[in-house]
Order: sequence, then C-alpha cells, then structure tokens
Amino acid sequence: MIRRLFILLLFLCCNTPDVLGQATTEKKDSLATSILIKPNDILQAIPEWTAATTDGFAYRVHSGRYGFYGPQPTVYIDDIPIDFSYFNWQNLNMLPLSTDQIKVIGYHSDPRAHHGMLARSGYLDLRTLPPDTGFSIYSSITVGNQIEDPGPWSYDPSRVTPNIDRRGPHYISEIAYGGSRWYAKGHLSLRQHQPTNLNNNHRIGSYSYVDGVWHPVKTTVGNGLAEVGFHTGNWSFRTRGLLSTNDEYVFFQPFGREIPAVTGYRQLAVKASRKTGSWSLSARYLANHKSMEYRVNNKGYNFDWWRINHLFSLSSGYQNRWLSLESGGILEISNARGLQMVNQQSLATLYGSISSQLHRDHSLRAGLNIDIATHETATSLSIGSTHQLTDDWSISAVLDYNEMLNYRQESSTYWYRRGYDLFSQLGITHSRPFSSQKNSSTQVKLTNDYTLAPAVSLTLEGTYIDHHTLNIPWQVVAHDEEQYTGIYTHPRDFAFTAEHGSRFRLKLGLTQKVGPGFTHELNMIHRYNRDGTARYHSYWKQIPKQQLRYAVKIRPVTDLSFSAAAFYRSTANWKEYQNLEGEQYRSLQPQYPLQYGTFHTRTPSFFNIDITARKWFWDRRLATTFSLRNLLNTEVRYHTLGPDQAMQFIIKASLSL
Amino acid sequence: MLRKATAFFLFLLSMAAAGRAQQSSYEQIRLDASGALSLLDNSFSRHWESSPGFHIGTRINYHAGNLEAGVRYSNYSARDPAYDEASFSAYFIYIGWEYPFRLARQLTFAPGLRFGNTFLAFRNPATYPAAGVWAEYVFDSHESEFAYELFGRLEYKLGNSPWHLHSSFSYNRTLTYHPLPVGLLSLGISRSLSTPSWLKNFLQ
Repeated sequence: MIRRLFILLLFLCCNTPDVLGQATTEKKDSLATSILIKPNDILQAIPEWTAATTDGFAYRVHSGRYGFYGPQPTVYIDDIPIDFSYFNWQNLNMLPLSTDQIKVIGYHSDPRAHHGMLARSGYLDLRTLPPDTGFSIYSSITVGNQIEDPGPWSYDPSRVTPNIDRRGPHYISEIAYGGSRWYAKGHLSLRQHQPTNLNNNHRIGSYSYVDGVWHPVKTTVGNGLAEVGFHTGNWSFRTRGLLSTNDEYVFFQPFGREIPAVTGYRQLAVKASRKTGSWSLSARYLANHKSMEYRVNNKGYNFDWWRINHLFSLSSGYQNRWLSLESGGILEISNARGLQMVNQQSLATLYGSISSQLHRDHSLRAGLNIDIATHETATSLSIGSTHQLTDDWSISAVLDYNEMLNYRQESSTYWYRRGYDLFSQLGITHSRPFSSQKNSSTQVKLTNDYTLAPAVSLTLEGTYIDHHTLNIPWQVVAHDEEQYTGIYTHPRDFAFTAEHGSRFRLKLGLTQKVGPGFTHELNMIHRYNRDGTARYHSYWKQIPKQQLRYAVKIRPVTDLSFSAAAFYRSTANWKEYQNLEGEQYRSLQPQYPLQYGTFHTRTPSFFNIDITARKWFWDRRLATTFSLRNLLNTEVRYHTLGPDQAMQFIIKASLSL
Repeated sequence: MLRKATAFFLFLLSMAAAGRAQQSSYEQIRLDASGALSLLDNSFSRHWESSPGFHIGTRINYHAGNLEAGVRYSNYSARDPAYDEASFSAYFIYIGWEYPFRLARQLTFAPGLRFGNTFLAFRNPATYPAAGVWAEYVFDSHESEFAYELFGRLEYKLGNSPWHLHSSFSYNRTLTYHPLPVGLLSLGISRSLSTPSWLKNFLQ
C-alpha cells in the first residue's frame, strides 16, 4: 500500500507542471491540507498534538506540556475565548460553528497570553469571515455511519452481532446580516452521537435502566451563538452571547469511567478596541457560566456544580517596522457552588511581550506573565530569537520557564479541598493529601527551517522539557467481577501528587505547496522520557511515542477537491487500567446472544487512511462532502475503555445563500 | 479486497487529475434503466435468494469521465429454513464515477466505482429470545450500511438515435460485520440528452 501511495504521489507531481513555482505562503501554525468535517478533525490534523477518546465523540488533548489530564487548549472564536472545559474534559462538539465557516485555524502548543487570556496549555484560534453585505444564510447537515452492522445476519444466532448505529446527525445553521458599519449573526448547532460500540455501550448503557425504562444511550450537544459588531473610524465594538446545553457522559478520570451529566455553558462578551497609527487599545468583559447538573441515571450520580467567572481585561499594543510591544492585565472574579461548597476566587494577571527586528536577519522576542491569586503567584517568562543564517536556512531558539497555579489546572481536587465532596458520593477514597503545588517547567525549543526548493520546506525541531513539578491525578481502578452490572471498574485510592521528570520531543516536517491545486505534507513526531519518578513514567505511557501523518490536498478543478491523510500512531499504555487487562466485557441485558470482548491496557499501534472528496454546486452555494475514515479498517483504539473505531463514512451537505 | 479497492480508487483519482482538461463538463446527461441478476455463489447467496433487481440512474460528463448517481432495488427472501419467514428489501443508493473508453464507433467500455449506502428494510425483524418472552430484544426494522461497487459497462449506441443498450457486470460489497458480497449481471437501456441550462448552472 505504501508503495502504491508513493507511486501515486509521483504521478500526481508529474501531472502538475502548469502550476509549478506558484508556491503559496501560509502561516506555519495554520492548517490547510485537509478537508475538515467534524470539530475533532481539527485535533487530528495538528501534528504536534495527540488526542484520546473513550466514546469516539469527545477527545482529550495533549498539546505538549501537561498530558491528557492537564488543562485543555484554550479555544477562541474570532479572538474571544470560550471556556467549555469541565474538570479538564472538553468537548469540541460544543462549538456552535461548522468547520466550513472557519476560514483560518491558528494554533500554538505552549502556554502563553493570547487575546487577553492566559492560554494555559496552548490554544486553538478559530477565525471566521465577517458576514457579507446584506442577508446571508448557511445551513449544513452531516451524517455518518460505522460499518459492521449485523444486517440480515441478525436472523442467524451464530452470526448475529450488535447494532452499530449511525453517527450524528449534526445540524448547523447561521443567519447573518452585514451592513456597511455593522453586522449581526446567529448560529445554531445540534450534534448527536450514539455510543453503540460494544466496548463502551455496555458501560454507558448500564446507567440507563431507570424505573423500568431504558433511556436512550445518546449524547446530544446543542449550542447557540448571537453576535453583533459595529465599527466607526478607529473604533470597533463587538458583543456576543453563547448558550449551550448538552446531555453527555462526562468521563471523570478520578472515577475511572463516565458519569451521565447535563453540562451547560453561557457566555456574555463585550469588547471594544481602537487603533490609532501604530497603537492599539482593547478592553473586554467576559462572563462565563458553566454548570454540570443531573442527567437521569440509576445510580443517582450528580455533579451538582456550577461556576460563574467575570473577566475584565485591558490590553495595549504598539507596532512599527522594527518593534512590536503588547501588554495587558486581566482581573478574574469567580464564584463556584458544588454540593455543599461555596467558593469565591479573585485573580489578577499581568502580561507583556516585546518583539524586535534588530537586523534584517535577526529578531528577538521576550514575554512575561504573572498570575496572582490570593495565596500564591505564578510567574512565566520566555525569551527567544530567530536568525536567517542563509537565504534557505533559518534557526530559532526559545527558552521558557512556566508556572501554573493549582487553580488553573482545573482539577476536581482543587474544589474538593474547598469542600466539594463529590468523591464521597462516588465512593472514591484517597489516602494522601492532594498536591496544592503549582506546576512548573522549563522548556528549550530549537527549530531549523530549510527551504529545499521554492515550494518545498523542511522543519526540524527539538524540544526538551523539564517538569520541576507536574501534578498528576492517578486512579488505578479495580475490576468489578459482576459483568451484568455493566460497570467493570471500582474506584480505589485516588492520588493527586506532585511528580517530576523530563522529556524530549523531536519533529520532522516536510511540506510542498504547488499553487492552489496541490499541497502535501509529512510530519513525524517522536517523544520519549529522559528521567522522572515512577508515576511520571507511567503517566506519559498514555501518550504514543511515535506519530506520523501524511496529508495531501488536491484541487484538480475549481469545483472539486480531494484530501487524503495517512496516519500512524504507536502503541500507548493506560497503566491506570492494569487491573482490567485480559478481563472480559459483554453486551448488556436484555439482548440477543451475549457478545464478549476483552479489555487491554495497551492500545495497539495503528496505521489508517482517511479520504475525503468535496464537490461544489450552484456557483459554490452548495457543497457536498463525502469522507471515508479508517479506510483499511484497522483497529483504531485510543483508550483501554474506548471503542474500536472501524471504518466509517460521513456525508455532509452545506448550503450558503 | 478493500485494499485493492483503495488502490483502484486512488488510481481513478489520479486519472481525474491527469485528464482535467479533456473536455468541457456537464454537456450531456444520460438516463439509465436496467434489470440485474445475481450471479455469485457465496455464503450470502446460499442463505438468501435474490429476486431480479431494478436500477435507475443518471450520468453526466465531468472533466475526465462521468459522474453518476442512482438507486438499485433488490428483494431477498431466506433460503435457510432456520430464518423462518425472513425477508428484506435492499436499496443501494450511490454516487460514482466511470471512465469510458471507445472500443468501436458505437461501442464503449467504462470501468467505474460507486460508493453508497445500502438501506435494508426487514419485514419481520429478528427477535431474541423468541418473540413474546420477557425482555425480548427486537432488531431495528430498518438498517443502513456502507457499500461500494466496482463495475464494467459495455454500451452500444443505436444508430444516430439518442438511445443506447448497455450491459454491465458489477461486484457490490455491503460492509456489514459479515459482509454481503453480490455479483450482478445487468442489461438495460439509456437515453442521452443535452443538459438543460438550469441543471448545468446548478452543477457548476
């Protein structure tokens, strides 16, 4: 197969002589080589990041510094951050946008202040185009299906297998009006998912039999966004409201499995900015209300938790040909309630950065941010430089020291220490006090960029990170022998301890952009631990050591586009689930002949291919997209408790008027 | 088989890229109707008896080759007595692409590939344990599954008329857990016509 792909690649290269030399320039940290359909496709397309899922719908992300159990990357829509992380569980399906509406995706893997917010674990910066003048409407529907339904073999007791339902549907719509100086727009999204694979259906479904009724085993995520913008002269104003209500199964790591919950999110944002010559000034108010409420389940589990944050931020910037300055401050006031807990927090953050082009070929940059809470302060600083050594070779180096407040880790242990006793409700014990230390780390990154030909670039990057303190939540769950309950895990002593160690990451990236019609790239990531405590080593075994991704996008004609991505991921080991190794799980009662599977702590390495085709109609008003995922139908599994994601196909139709 | 299909599909993509300036698109549309008989002998055909299928579709020239879409209906009844009175209808709804080669002045051969969904409608859905028992589990009466099809079509143009005769062999595979492979021999007629301007505008 690899040989065939290589031959095809050569063939395609040989068939594009008419556009050779029209190399496009694109920001290094934006994505362009895939047709993205679902929000989670964004995560898979970022080479440095890795993701894991227990249901195939919501993914935990490791963006480089904190692993799957650390804070998740901050997500921005048009410069305004949205905060739908619940105890570090973040569901990107809560985005009220379609991927069609996102024109540029910027990302960064390191902690930094970005658009008036401290992005603790990097960020995803999603930018949409401003509405056209007059009315415009967008609407899309996406449906998907995973293969391996029983079909007519359901009549044969020796061949019958569980029903694997369709994925989705997802509905997205937008209505907008653009005037000469103002615009207004509204977005609605509804995404649904049926976790029907045997490996998670038996576990999640076990909650659903309540008062003699089987409730649907289904996740439903609904969102709405309304925004108004106005600009006059040098001033611009924006205000945004966002509302989200979701029936979910939140994977609560200290518990070792999912808990049914209704998560809610409301946001009000007001922003004003002014640009005068080289100066810019911006002020913003954000109110975020997050909640986790009761969703019907036969155990009576209830997070009963909510928090409201008020964030006031002020920033200023100066930019000329040689110098760029940015500084700002954020004041955050937070009120949280959970079971019997009542808690209030106030934090202040000051940040600043300077970037200077000292010489045509040499630039320097430095950044500092200080996060001040009631009893502790976290300081982060970075310094870096870039040097154009030859016409075709540039080198950049960055050294950073980063501290993160315990509060910023978004761990449930933070709230437990303030009286949120969810652990008692769930039967989670712990023998040692939870760590209250700050996370701290030092990172050195060296990047070489080579231009091999006008349209070909090569990146070699090495990163060394020393975690002086890394708070790791850890729950080695016990196996429950009573299979009929569909539970399989019992929480045991939970630990949240400060660990230390160091890691390397090496990256090789190769990109060729040949005009608008042909782009392809290859990225290889290798990670390994240098030293550290025993738990530090166990924790990072969840992250695959090697990742390889080859992506190609071909647009042979203006109304047709193809993309393909080949992805390799090495094995990972979920040591927290070692007690499940080799144990069986089975389908739920009441059902046809019982189906059995086996838990494995080690998720296998896999190589898979996704292909996507998009055809536009009616002067690009109507787009249809057809995608095949896991074309080779290999075992794609990200977590011991996660499903084996067999081949899937996805169809999307979107209309823009 | 799936790997071969992948390689074939990628080959077809490359053909599309290579021949993009071959001809102007959307000039001609063709309407097809045909009947199909199942040929292959395999586990599926030994357990299920297929009635002749009926197919309608449409094709339109698009850069290199033709884009196509259509639906084929088949009915199946159980050969295996253990399945009782089981029967179901299958609708294969697809989009596809073919690349025609001219063999003679009025004869063309077109290999192609179709992707789509097979929708299954069961008249008496399977029930476990036996019907009427406590906690019985009844399967859905409707199901759908991804399917792909490789085909080769011979087409003969009838004089100067817009009518054509065609015959094709197709291999269809619906990817249920235990797949449903079907080989079909079909015979049918086609009529070609100039694409109406409103349709051409829509397709562009």
